[in-house]
Amino acid sequence: MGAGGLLLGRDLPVGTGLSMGAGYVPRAISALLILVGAVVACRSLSRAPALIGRVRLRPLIVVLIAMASFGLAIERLGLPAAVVATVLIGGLADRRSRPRELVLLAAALAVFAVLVFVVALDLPIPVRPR
Amino acid sequence: MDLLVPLAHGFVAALSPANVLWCLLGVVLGTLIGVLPGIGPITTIAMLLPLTYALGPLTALIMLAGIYYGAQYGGSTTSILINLPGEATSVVTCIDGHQMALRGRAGAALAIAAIGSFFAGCVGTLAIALFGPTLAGFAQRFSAPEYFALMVLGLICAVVLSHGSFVKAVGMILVGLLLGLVGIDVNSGTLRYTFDFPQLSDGVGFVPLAMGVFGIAEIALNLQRAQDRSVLGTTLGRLWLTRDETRLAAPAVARGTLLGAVLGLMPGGGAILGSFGSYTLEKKLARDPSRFGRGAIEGVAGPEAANNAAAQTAFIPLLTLGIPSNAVMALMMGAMIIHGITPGTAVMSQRPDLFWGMVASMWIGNLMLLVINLPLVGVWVRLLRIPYRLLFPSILVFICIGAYSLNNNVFDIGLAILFGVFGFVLAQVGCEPAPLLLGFVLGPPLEENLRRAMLMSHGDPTILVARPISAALLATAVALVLVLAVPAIRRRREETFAEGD
Repeated sequence: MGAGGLLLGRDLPVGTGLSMGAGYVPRAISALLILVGAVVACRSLSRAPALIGRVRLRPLIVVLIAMASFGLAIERLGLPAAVVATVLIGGLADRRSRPRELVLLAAALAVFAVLVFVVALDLPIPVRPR
Repeated sequence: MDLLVPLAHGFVAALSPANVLWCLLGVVLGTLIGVLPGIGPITTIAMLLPLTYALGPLTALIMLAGIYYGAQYGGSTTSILINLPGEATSVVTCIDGHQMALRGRAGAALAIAAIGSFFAGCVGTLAIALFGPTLAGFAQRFSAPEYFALMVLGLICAVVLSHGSFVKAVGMILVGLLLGLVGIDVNSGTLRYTFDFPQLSDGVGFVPLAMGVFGIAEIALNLQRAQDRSVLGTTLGRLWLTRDETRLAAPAVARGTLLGAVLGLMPGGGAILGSFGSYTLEKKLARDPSRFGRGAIEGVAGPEAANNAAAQTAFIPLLTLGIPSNAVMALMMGAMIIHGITPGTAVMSQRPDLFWGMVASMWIGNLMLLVINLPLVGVWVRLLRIPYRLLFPSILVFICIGAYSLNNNVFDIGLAILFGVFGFVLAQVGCEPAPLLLGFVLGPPLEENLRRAMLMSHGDPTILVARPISAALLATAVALVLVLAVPAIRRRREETFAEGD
């Protein structure tokens, strides 16, 4: 990340100590970050490896897809549809989910969200499909 | 007395029907998320922050603060009853609290946790009222070099007192600082690291960052662990303490309060360190340390008082100096900025109603919490039966709505997704996300003050050490780093944190 910071910020003027340019602080931080990264890397190479363990990616990926579906649905289909989509897709992240329960939860949350956020708090969130 | 008049004004402001109502809502919500494992105050405050737009700044801060200290009360209930911390700050309460529950003294454990928290909350609030103005007055003499030094010290403290690897915490702060620099550079108007996204010109959204790194990553990690919790079947037993229990618990509450109040002031420590420290202290002081781990009431009373005292005094650096001491305070700072208030000494002089209103509301909130948590504890116990498979889709929905309603912009949801992945990776490699959030909110003011200091001195960096206050602050920061390098102290620190594992 430090290298990225230096690379992406290479066009920013550094300036001098007296009149620091936009790139002065980013460059300093990026340099420090590279240093810290190097220290962490060296220390972990010199020690016995601690295994991270098997990472189950399924929950993370499903959760992220559920969120993306909310983002895709909210402006086109409105809030209730977006909530239902998020709950139904998100539910797949957990093997213990029960379909009937999820449908009920989705319906309840959709009603609740419209009542609280649109009716009570008056937030400008689209409700109906466009 | 010059303290009573503003405090009275504060009570008038905090006792307006709307503010009382929102305070109640905040503490109830805080207790709720405190009781429920798998969702903490950071996620909740980030989720609800955009929704407070419609409220006035004082009302919004009262509610958000209520969530934070309300969670300290609620967390202990879960620790005691199902041996699973509802909040990170009640990890140590599990040890002896759950043992008390197994011995049929669950009621007493819950009672001392709530009473201890209430006592600590009152003392903590009083500490804010007493020391806040003094500290703010002192800080009024600060200018750019002192602020720069203070922020550096704050960040170093956060590293020293945080869990886990020292170097990784430094790395996290630096990543946070770098993320904080995204957007238009205030001095020159140059766009930095925006990747040509116009939405990034105002900087990375604070709310999507917190939601992603804490909320989304937390959900993914919880699902990965995948285990169901069982609610304790036994009855609560009598809520009243026996005379022996009172005799043991009272001094522990007093010591815990004092320790927590001091640690709450320090950046990075706050409520978690307060509870761990208090447990260690009580074990050291006890005549028979072997009782600990087998249902010693001091092991519940001390840490619970400490975490609540710390949760209150943690507001002092934020309200008087504009320096957040932990991730929740960083969120509160974000909330203040969203509502157009610059945290710092100016709050006290320009918006005294805000400062005193919050102080008064905290006391009112603590009183509400005592009522909510003691007689109504049965309600919360029943809530523990909500399985996580129903909880997490609901959290997900609220995160999405929160992120979207921030700017009515789908971009922020995308950002939250991105930071969710980042937070998940961080957790896998053992990096704490809290220092990242601190670095993120302190990045812009840190750069700003450094530049101003350099302008003052015409580019001479020695100005940072030539001014006495700034030199003292920086010297403390350097000393802290050196102290940490001493192996004996490092081991001690690891021991303190290992106590609860």
